[in-house]
Amino acid sequence: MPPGLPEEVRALIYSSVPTIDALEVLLLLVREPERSRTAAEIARDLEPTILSEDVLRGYLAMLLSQGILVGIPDGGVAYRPSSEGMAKAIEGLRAAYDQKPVTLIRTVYSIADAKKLQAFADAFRLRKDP
Amino acid sequence: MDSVKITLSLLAILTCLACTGLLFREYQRRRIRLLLWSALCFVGLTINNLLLFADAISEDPAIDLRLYRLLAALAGMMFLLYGFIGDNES
Amino acid sequence: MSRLTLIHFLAGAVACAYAIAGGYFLRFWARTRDRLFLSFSWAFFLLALNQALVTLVGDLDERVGYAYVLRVVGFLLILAAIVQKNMAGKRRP
Repeated sequence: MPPGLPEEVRALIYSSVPTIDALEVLLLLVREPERSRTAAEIARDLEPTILSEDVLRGYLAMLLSQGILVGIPDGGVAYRPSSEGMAKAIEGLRAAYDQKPVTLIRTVYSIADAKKLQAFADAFRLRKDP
Repeated sequence: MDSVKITLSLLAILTCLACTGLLFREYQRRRIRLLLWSALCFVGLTINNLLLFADAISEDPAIDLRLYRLLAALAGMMFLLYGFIGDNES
Repeated sequence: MSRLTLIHFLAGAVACAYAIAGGYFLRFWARTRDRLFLSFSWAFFLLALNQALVTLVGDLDERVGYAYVLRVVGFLLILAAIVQKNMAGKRRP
């Protein structure tokens, strides 16, 4: 298991960053806290990366539900961490992006893969935990 | 010996059916594509085992389902390998 | 192309596919340490071996005789893995 990223960053990735594209979306919003952006604006700002609208909305919904983003009445979203711990984890993520990008990318992929394998193994449990 | 073979064939069929069902069920729940490809793989293997069973109980030597068995198995395995190697869109 | 040639070609492809899957499951076991993957790995390697033997040993078809055993053991391993998964304690980390 590769060491390297702090535990709260790994937990953040597990809960909120399923892909590299999701990472880009998150960091885009984190760079300008409290600034409201609509999905369309985000998609445009991310170019040349191309994200389908459905996928982008999926990422935003996940980030909203995790308390990382808040919805703004005008229809956009903004970065506003809901707790100290969250803000700290996001800072760690930013630092990793700047200083250890390869480790970060590898970690995102390995956590995504681990989730898939866990799902495969869990499929064979006859009784599910609620 | 024949009833042993038949029992073992049925066991293989049931195992594959169980895997198919369990994987489809989890896919319904979690929508993780690896589960879909795996379930489809076991569909192929179930068909493979069903045809093997049919071949085994058939007394007629002219019936040879080998080709179809292999096609079913191959189709199933292509789904699985695609899931492992190719489908990395999360 | 004769039917037999096609059958042999497919048999080789299927054996190869089983073996590759076995390898992937082995890697998954190495990563997760979940014994389910080890069982699946063994099962698919046995299926590969069975397929190869049945094809190479000629007219010994998998319907008959000892070739059957390898297949069966493979599927029994999968069955055992499922049973084991449900008998182990609650969620492991």
